[in-house]
Amino acid sequence: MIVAGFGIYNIFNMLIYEKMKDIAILKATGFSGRDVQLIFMSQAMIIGVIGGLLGLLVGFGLSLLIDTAPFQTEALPTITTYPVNFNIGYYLIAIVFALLSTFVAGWLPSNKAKGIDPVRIIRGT
Amino acid sequence: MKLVLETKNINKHFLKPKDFHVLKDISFGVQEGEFASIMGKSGSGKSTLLYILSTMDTEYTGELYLNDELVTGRPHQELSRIRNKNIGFVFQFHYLLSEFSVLENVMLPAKKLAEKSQAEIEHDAMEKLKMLHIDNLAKQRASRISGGEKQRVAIARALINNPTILMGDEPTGNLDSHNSENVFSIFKRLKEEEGLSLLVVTHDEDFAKRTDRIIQMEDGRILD
Repeated sequence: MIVAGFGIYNIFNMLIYEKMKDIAILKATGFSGRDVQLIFMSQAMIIGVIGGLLGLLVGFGLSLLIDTAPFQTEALPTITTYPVNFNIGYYLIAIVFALLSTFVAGWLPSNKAKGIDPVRIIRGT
Repeated sequence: MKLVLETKNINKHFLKPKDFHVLKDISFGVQEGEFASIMGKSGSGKSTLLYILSTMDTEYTGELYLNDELVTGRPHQELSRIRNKNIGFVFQFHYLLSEFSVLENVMLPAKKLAEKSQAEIEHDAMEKLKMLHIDNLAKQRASRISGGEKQRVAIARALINNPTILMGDEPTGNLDSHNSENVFSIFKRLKEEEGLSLLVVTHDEDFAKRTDRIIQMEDGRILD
């Protein structure tokens, strides 16, 4: 989670750097810093939601597969396949962490975008 | 005549790399329906002044009035709104959002203002494009049209909210003589037909001579 968070943080930093001129023009035409931050935060949260859900689905699929794998041990004579815990709680924890890490990773760079001074960008200094 | 824009004793210092007094006691006004140009050498502070007038730069002392209302000292959120509603800005470089279509670029400030419905905004945007004879480009991506066309799109975007004043920072600086002429005649027409006030910073002497008034700047002062 921390690694993925850093990845997103970096991508957003680059994205904002690249969109510097666009941000400046938005501000020059009357968008406030808060609007700019909202744009980047919504993008971060979309990544968080899509990534989180995709992760849950892939995780669920893989655990179904593992669940059918043969697994025999003398200690547990009733079990023939690999035991998997499908408790919904683990899925909830996973999605909460995914959203939390993308939120933090999006918040820091977008806060920087909020503070960009359009005059400096447009004058090129 | 009514003043749409007025400054009183505006002073500005650049603090980095060392203290530099860029603007010294700037007091002047732009009248309703006036086409004024600011001329001066590089470093005379004309662009700096324009950015203060546009409310983007807030680090100065003195007073700035827009439509007889004091703008100095307002919070950023409010300044954004004032800029959105009352000021149209055209830069030397067009600054269009390249991923969006021409029409979307023009509509953007109006969507932010959110005083009209989506359909009305689209209609207005098409009107502006038609007025500038670029309505055939509406669906094109902004990155795929020529430099002169881009500048006209930028003008359309500046006009979409029917601002009180249109400001330009060397709007013809990057254009060839044909397109410069085009931009000038657009400005002229806006003044004559719509009674728009214009304030344009320029290096182009021919351009400036044909405006109503030339404001000469030197070393951070206005000469008259």
